[in-house]
Amino acid sequence: MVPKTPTELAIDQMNVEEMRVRRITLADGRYFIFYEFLRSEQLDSMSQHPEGEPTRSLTETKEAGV
Amino acid sequence: MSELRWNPLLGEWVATATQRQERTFLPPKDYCPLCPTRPGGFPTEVPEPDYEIAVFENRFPSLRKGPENPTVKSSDLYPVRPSQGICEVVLYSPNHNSSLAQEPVEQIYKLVRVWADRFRELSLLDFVKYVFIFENKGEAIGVTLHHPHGQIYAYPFIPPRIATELAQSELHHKQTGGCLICDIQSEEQADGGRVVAENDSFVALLPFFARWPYEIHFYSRRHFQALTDMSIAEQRDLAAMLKMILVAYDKLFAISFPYMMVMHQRPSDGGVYGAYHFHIEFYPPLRAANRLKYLAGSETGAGMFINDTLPEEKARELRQFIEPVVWADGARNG
Repeated sequence: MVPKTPTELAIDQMNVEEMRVRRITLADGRYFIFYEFLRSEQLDSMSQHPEGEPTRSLTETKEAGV
Repeated sequence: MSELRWNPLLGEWVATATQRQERTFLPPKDYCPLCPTRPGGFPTEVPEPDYEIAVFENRFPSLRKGPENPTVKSSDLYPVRPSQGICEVVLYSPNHNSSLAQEPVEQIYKLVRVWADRFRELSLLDFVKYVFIFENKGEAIGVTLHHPHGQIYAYPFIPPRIATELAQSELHHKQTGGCLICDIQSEEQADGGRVVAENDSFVALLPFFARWPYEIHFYSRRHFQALTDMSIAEQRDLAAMLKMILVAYDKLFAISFPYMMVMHQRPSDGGVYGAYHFHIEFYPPLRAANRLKYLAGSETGAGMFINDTLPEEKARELRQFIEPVVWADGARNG
């Protein structure tokens, strides 16, 4: 049997977190995306208290730019 | 005013984006627009009090989804087109004083997943022909905001550097039946003198043809074309390789090392690019702790780079600072 690599062992040991995407639309039409990473126990907790909202809109325009 | 103007001499597009002159320039730390908006605090660009990783459309873009009409007339000699595309900002961390090198490898792994998601989503847009993920780090590169962040440009055409690499890869494949980067990687590993670090999925090296003194390329061991082709193990190994190399860069001169990091992937124009090979390139502008490598007459005017250093020596310097990456669960990588 081929021994597992350190990466494969690490994956065995960890729960790969679920990536959640939450989008906001700013007043000027630009999108803003929050990436959130949830472990399985957090997902279970959310399913019992499903007040989280997947998307919402804001009516603010923020300063800045890159 | 923003438009794409054709350069008939070089056969490439130039973007004019005069509104970018107004963008925020090196604000004080307390007024960083990329920090979260804390309760009662300065309202930043981020409309929430915290985030893990966030992505948003640049307020001062050089390309936009619904571009204005060009302000100048198009002609046969000088074609002009609207600057359609997307410019995104990727916030790596809510911590203003951090950098990608300082982030835990777990956070870098999350970022790799976000990059893959952005590549997938932007590639689906019909006007997008190439998704370019990059980071400019440090004032030496012209960064205007210090908060750890990168950028993504979704271009309406395949940019010239990529087009050249695609053509060279295709030519090599026709001539040898092989992949150019797989063959470069084999030759570099056989030599070994320019390899800086390795793990199960990636090799980091200063290529034989390095143009910058500390230029490093990451080549995937497996032949694939994009972030979305990677397995979980490869995404984790990419995160670990980023951590290893960026920490080594910072240790080299005991400073937060400036660089340009660019990701080269297949185009998103629906074509088949099986001969191409995913890779990442770093172009640090330093040639010594307090000396910059300038793009002067030969580099800018003729396109020929002059590297005042030997990649073999610079690889040896960097290897001294390579340390294994330890994940929070105790796994070691590298």
